[in-house]
Formats: sequence, structure tokens, C-alpha cells
Amino acid sequence: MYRYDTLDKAFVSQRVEEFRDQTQRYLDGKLSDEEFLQLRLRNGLYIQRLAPMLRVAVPYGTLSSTQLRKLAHISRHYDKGYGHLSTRQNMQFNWPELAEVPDILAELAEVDMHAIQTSGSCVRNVTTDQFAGVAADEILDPRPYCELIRQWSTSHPEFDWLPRKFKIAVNGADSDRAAVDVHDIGIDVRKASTGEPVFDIKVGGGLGRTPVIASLIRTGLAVEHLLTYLEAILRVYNRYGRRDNKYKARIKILVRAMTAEKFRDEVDAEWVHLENGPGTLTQAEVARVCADFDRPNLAAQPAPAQPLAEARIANPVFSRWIANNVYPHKQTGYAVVTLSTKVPGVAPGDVTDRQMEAVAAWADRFGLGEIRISHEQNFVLPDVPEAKLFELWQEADAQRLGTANVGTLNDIICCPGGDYCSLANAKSIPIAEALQRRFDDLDYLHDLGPIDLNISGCMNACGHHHVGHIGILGVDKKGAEWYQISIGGHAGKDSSLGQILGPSFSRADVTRVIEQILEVYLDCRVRDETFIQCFRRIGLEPFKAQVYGQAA
Amino acid sequence: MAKLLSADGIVAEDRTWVDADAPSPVAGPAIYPLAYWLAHRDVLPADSGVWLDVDAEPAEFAEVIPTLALIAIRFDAFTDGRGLSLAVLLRSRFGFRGELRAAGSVHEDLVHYMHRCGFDSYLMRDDSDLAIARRALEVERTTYQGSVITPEPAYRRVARS
Repeated sequence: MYRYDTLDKAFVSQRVEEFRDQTQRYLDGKLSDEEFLQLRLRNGLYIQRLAPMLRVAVPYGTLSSTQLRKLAHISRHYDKGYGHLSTRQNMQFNWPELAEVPDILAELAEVDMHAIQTSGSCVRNVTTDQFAGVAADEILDPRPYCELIRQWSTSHPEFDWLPRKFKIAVNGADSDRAAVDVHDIGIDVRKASTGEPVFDIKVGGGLGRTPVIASLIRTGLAVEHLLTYLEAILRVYNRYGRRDNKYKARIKILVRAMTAEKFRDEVDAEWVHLENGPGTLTQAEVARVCADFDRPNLAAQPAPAQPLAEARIANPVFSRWIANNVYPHKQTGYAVVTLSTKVPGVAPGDVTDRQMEAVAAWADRFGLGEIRISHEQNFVLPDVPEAKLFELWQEADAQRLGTANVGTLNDIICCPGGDYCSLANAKSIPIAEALQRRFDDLDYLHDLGPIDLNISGCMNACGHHHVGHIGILGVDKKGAEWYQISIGGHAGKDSSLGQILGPSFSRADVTRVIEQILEVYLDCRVRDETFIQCFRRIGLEPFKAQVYGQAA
Repeated sequence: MAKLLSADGIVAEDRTWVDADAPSPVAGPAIYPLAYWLAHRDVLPADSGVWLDVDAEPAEFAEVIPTLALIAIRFDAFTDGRGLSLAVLLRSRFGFRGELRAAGSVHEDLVHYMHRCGFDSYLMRDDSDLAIARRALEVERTTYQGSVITPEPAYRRVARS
């Protein structure tokens, strides 16, 4: 992974001191609430319903065991002993004291971490495939390019005050686990026929109130032009994006208003002035950053004493875990393991300090000390020897991180919702919990196959409900919490946005409605058709008829 | 009286700001609305400045930009980043060499970013703490990107390893 050099360290230390000074001036009454709001947002600090919330950046979801131990320590000493994995691969702390935040940032800086630009109208944490660097279906590791973009976009003097938040995702595999189609800028990196990396650039995707699939505006961009091309996009957006209405301020609204063709022309006209200028990446810089992501050749693994197949036959629950939570590694003898945080009674993505310590220890024992956070709010161990899978599973299960539910209905993506967030219309965590309790039978979940169920507590769509195969959205009806359900969303190479089933439901009815939707799928599926394939064949009507009756 | 932070330190405002409502020539150094200046530049002193809103299109008056002594950009809110892109364009594309002044809602914690976008003086709000703003400009900063004042990004400026 990327190793900070003296410049990176100096930058972060300086930012910590700057924020310490700003916090002190606020506490002394020298900065108004409104001024401090803008300054603290650029350092990841929200004031939530109950307490401040600090969102720590985990660049492209990769962190070391040392860094995870530091996060565990912070959760113990400054919070209530847990943290929350966000849908942007970051970690949030829900209960810090405002006056202690500068100390937390100083502790983070000790392990080359920060909270810069994890909120506010600026370029946010660049996200990617949680299996980057190890996935068997990978073309190129996208993380060096994420890192180059991270450095370029960090405290950018021109682009720190955009019309609205700005999210960039990069994918380098055959599958798209980074959901690039629903980002402000989505980037696919692939190999040109020469073997050189080239970039396809999409703009104007997004969720929120107006979900949009991004438009492709450039193909085959060479690596040296990556940052100047992004600069051209950001400048057009910064100058012409709407600032009069926050719900119309994302780049997707500008792209749609201008049309993607016109937007591309504007970007190209701007880029003419930047192409081959001083912002052009040098070969040396690309090589420097790429070298940090070079993967050592992992030791060839001896044949396990007890072959995996035997262990699977002997233990069906372990077998389910292998089927759902283990992904093929580039190198034979190794596996990529997802540790699910989704167990009933725990908010999706919540992890205790003890769990963090355990994950850090496994990363050292069963890998190279590296951990990933997925946008599905789970931990990933990227380099587990196959011979150690059974041992890891047993230990993970004891820490409630070994549930065999990854990719199933039960692996719910869920925002913090009305329990914590001051923007939410409705609570989302109790919905997730009720569903996880109702659908806890692993055999049934396995029979249902892959289903993404995503819950957002409001239109801001932090729970990505638009791209859930089943999406649940909290809405406010005359002060009461109601839930609108959509079906048919999908994030990946063939992204689609969910279609609203019909009028919304009370919290008490949500579980029943999900049961009815699943019944339709099980009745209608042909052979091993997945839920989303089935939906795309039969459409919304059969689901509507089942849930609302013929009258609807 | 608004206070001005410039290369000379903290000084009194040195020019009359002429509003757009009913502009007329004033005695002494002044900053005029662009449209008024364009219409009357033959009779206004050569060192008159002009002021722009953050959404100004420099391409529309490109030919006069290199001749101007001073351009002020007026921010209605310090969160409006359009003025930053406008500054970058004036400096790096339209050949503006005169004094570039930030006015309106200018926040003391942001002047160092503005400086990197090409500003060199700051007309601060009455309640601003200019000592903080001046200190912010004086601090030597570690930066990643190139900017108007230092076009080379870090990887072209320093050895990184």
C-alpha cells in the first residue's frame, strides 16, 4: 500500500495544527457557528443529532493493521468503543467530544491518516473495488491512480469550494465492484493494446434525489493526462454548476442540463489549455506511486493437511461461508475473505474496538497486514492462505464476523438513519434489524441467491437504495416515518436504477412486503435465475399485484 | 472602513469602491464596475481598477485584461468557489499581471488558498481578524498541486520517495 513520504507527513501535520487553531478559536467564540461549520466539514466533522460525528478517511478503503489498531484505540479512548464502516469505505466515530477532535486528528496523523475532505462541498475520498490488487478478475490495480487523484484533490486551492460534494470512483476489474456508474466521475482503468494503462471517463452519475447513470465522455485517456483532464472537468463544474439550490447542485444536474455532448465539448475546450502543461503526470511520479502497490509474490502454499473440500463436507456452515464470503485470489493457494458485520442486533457496519483488534491480528497472521473496507460496510482480508480459511472462519465466527451472508439479502447496506443523522426522515437501522431477524435462515438465504437490499433514511441516499435490487427509502409523511420500496436497481457493469413499487408502508409492514416480493421471485424464477435477472424479465407488475392486490 | 491586507501588510482601504447601481467618476483611485469602466475608460484615470462578480466571463473582455492595473473579484459568500476559478483563469489564461484583489466575503482562514489562485490583496470584512489572515499567508505550506504562484505540482518541485 501507499507509504507516506516526508511531504505527505508534513502536509497532514500542518493540517492538524491548522484545525486545532480553528477549533480553539471557535471554542473561544472567535469563529461563528456558520464559519466553523464550513471549516470543520472540510475536516470530516459533522454535528449530528446527539453528538459530533468524525468521519476518518480510509483512502480507497485500504488500511494497514497498524492503522486499524489506531482506530480501535480511538474508539476506546475518545468514543464508546465502536466505530462505523461507511458506504464510502471510511470509518465514522459517532461520539467524540468536539474539544478532543484535534487530539484524535493528531493520533491519526501518527499512523498517516486524517479526516480531510470526508465531508463538505469538495472532492471526497476516492473509492474503488475492495478487492483491488488481489481479485482474480482484475485487469489493473486501480489504487495507484486513486492515490494520485487523492493527492491532487487534497486541499486543492481552486476546488475546495465546489457547488456540492464530489465523489470519484475508479475500477480496474472485469466486474465493477466500485459502482463507477453512479459517481460524479466514474473511471474505468484498462490496458491499451500497448499494455499501457488508459482511462475511460464517465461523468454525472449519482444517487440522491435525482438518480442518474453517468455518461461516458472520454475513452482511452493516457495516464499522464489523467489529472489535467480531471482539472478541466472540475473547472467547468466549479464555474457552471448550480449554487442556488443544493438539490440541483451536483454535477449530474449540470451534465443533464447541458447534455453530455455539450458538457464534453466544454471540458475538451478547457483541456486544450491544460494538456501537456505542468499538471501533466511524470513517468517518475506514476512509477513511484505504482511501486508502493507492487505486490510481493506470496509464498507458494503447501497442500493443506485436510483439503478444503473435505472440511466443507464436514461442516455445511463453513461451506456456505466459503461460497458466499470467499472470492478467488489472483494467486492460487490464496483467497480474498469478506468478514461480514451484518448480524442481527448490530447496526450494519458497526464494529467494536475488540473486533477491530481481532481483524488487525488476522491481517498480520493470515496476510500481509493489510485490510480493506468495502462499500457494503464489511471488512476484507485480501491475502488469506486457503489452508488457513477454516481456522480464520472459526475465529471470525467467535467474534461475530464470520456470518456466511455476504451478497445475500441479509448483507444489508444501511445508512445511520434517524437514530443518528440529523438529515434523516426515518430510522433505517431498526428496519435492517427486523429484516435480519426475519431472514436469518442461511439455507433460505442461500436459496434466494445474490440479493442486494439497501436502506436509506432519506433522499440523500447514503444507503444507496436506488441501486439495491430491493431498495428501501425512509420518507416523512406528516411527521410519521414511512418507507417507500423500489425494485430492480443494480450497481455494476450493467447498472440500473430501482423502480418504485407504489405507495409507501409503515414500519410494521416493511418485513411483510419484503416477504411478498421474495415470494414472487421464488414463484417466477426460471432455473437458477437470480433476483435481478428475474425482475428484468418479468418487470414490476407481478410484484405490484402481489403486494397491493389486484386493485392496485 | 474595510481593512486591506496586501503585500505591504495591513493598511487602510486605498481605493473608493464604486457600486454598480449609479456609478459615476470619483476623485482619486477607485474601483469601477466592469461595464461602467468599459464604457468610460477613455476618461477614467489609467490606473483605475474594475470589479467583477464571481460569474464574470473573462473571454467577453479578454483584450483589455492585460491592460488593467487592478481587478477585484467580489465574493458574496466565502463558500462560492467560482471566484477562485475566475482568478486562476485571469492569471493563467488571460494574461492579467496587475493587482488581483479579493473583496466581499473573504475569510481569514482561506486567504492562503486564494493566494495560490493568484490573489495578492484582500479587502476583509470589518469583523475579520487580519492578524490571523496575515499569519496564514506567512506560514510556509506543504502543498500537492501546482497553482498560479507555483505552477509545478509537488512531484516536479521536490524529490519524492
